[in-house]
Amino acid sequence: MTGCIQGKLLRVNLTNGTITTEPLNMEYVREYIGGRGLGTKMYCEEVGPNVEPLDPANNMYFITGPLTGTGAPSTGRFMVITRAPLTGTIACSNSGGEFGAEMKYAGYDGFIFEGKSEKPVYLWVDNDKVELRDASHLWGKEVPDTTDLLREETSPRAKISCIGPAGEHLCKFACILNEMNRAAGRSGVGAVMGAKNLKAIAVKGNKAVHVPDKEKFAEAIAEATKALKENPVTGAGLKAYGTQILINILDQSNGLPIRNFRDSGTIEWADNTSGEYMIEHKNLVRNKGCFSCVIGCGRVTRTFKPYAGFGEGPEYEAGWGFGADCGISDIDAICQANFRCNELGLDSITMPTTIACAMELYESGYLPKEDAGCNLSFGNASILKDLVEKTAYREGIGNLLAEGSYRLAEHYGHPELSMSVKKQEMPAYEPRTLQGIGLEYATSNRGGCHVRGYMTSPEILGIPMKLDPAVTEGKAAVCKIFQDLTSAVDASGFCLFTTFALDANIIAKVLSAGTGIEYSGDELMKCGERIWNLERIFNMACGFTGADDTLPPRILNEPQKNGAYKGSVSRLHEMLPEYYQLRGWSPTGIPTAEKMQELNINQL
Amino acid sequence: MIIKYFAYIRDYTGVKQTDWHAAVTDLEDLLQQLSKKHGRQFRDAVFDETQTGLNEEIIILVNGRHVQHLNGIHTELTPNDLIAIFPVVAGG
Repeated sequence: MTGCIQGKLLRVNLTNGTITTEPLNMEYVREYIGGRGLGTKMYCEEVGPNVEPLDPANNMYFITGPLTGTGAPSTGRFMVITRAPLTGTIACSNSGGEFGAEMKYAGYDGFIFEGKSEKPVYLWVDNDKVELRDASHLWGKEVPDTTDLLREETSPRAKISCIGPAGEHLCKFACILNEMNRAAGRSGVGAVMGAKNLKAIAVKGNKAVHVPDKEKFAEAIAEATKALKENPVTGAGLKAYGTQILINILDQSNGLPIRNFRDSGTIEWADNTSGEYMIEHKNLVRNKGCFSCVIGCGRVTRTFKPYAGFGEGPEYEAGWGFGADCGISDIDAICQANFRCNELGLDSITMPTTIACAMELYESGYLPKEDAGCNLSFGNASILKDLVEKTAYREGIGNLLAEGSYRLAEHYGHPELSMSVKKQEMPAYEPRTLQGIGLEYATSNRGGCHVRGYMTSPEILGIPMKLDPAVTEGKAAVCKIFQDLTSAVDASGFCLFTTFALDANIIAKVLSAGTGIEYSGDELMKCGERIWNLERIFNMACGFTGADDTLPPRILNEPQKNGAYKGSVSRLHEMLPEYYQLRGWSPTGIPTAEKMQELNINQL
Repeated sequence: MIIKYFAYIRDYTGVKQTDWHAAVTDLEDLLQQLSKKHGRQFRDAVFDETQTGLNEEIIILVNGRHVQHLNGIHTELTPNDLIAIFPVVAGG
């Protein structure tokens, strides 16, 4: 044990049923911290680039951050690291909720799953007592039922991570839900779990998480908590409106992608799908926070006839996806489709963006009506729930939707209509408006993703500085800093939203006080850079090259049709060479030997 | 000119949108006139402590462009402009 690090991992071989514990490699912790960094390091050392995502040899690493489960604010995170079915890249899917903290209370920093069980099983971890149990009776059940049944047969206090039918049917963007509504969402990590016949993990513990110097730790977390509470975003805005607050500002900034990015910029009914409207329309029941969270951005929500339901969310990207990206203005239909994603275990970003792609294929005449089985036109709210369900069970058109937008569009001969990077769909920010977000999407190590270096923050929200979204100058440097900081934060156990208020120095101070390992702000950033480069090296060993650091042809070649950025395309070519140079990579995007040596990374 | 308000700025104005017909020269002039109409909370939200600069915690867009990238508080306005006023918000 070192401070708040338990120092112990649980390794489960699903093929032969053996369960062992082992000490955490503290040298890895110094250089990769935990969570995303530690999981990626262990994956690279133990599995490497030659194992396909759904192969039993594709290990899964559920890893907490050192701060997970401590009293530090907004530190309930854990990560799932594996190779991604959707992209073939490294996957690191980040989840909040309470599951990660419970892992720590059971005495573990992480769970590692190897092999494949012959029949469905779940893992029950009750402190030191660990067993694999038959899950045949759970197979086929949705996330809420699975969670309830597991609490009944283990403990009412158990925290549950599980897959739904989508993971069982190997949907390429199946996710893993914990506490029913918090998702390790992107890249298809739920399908890897399904391929292993691992339905769920239940965990309960009552062990302490220690810190080396209580007074020093209390002082550090008091500083962080004060900063979070005094910040207008983390202290007020997110709590009041949730992330769906972004709909209006992206719309008014002409940065809201519309109808599969076909009609970009802004749409007249955006406000009817906004966080403000969800309060006015009485969709919002209350807000909710993850473990130790002082922000509380989660939304407990309900919907009304004809789309009646109850659940959580949507987050902004899902709300945009089922809304503006599908041309749908009915907030109840949007929320209900999001509820079904959570219940069935589907990534609520790739699901709607794949539907949006299908809608464009349909309207363009490439996807025939007999294949669609319904009127797949943009704006048809009545089909959303059915399409989500068909996808989870791979029924009808759902069998193609379950492959994600790239493979869907490729099937119909038009892969260019997939709005994806490295086969993962771009979220809710228009790269022809926000030049920096385009660079971030293109270079993200897990494909199209907004939480690998959130350039929207300076380009639209003005945090921590105000950058003109239309210019490319200087964006490469900021993008690199954001990517490195995000990698380190994801490794620490902090929620990424804390970075709206906390800088690297405060995060390093809390991490140092918690672990007893001294990190300066610069060292924290260096750890982040190391994680980013290791992910890059892994992807390159899998066959990715600099040529994959690109955006869909539409974004590069089709000018925006109207609005403040009329005529604009992404000018990625103006930013990418500088980005490679700042990263210490070759002109073709390969990390140099010098950079690898500087970061102490070995070739895979 | 249309002025749209968002998030808790709507609590200060009581409306989501104003169709503005009176003459204004620039953004500062408009915000001064709107402050007279909507009161102290609105004024404190949009102006800094000097009452002459923009509050750091306000986002104002003119025709989709942040005024920081135009001419700030001195951005000139015309009758067909669309103004959007937000508090600093974030998400993702």
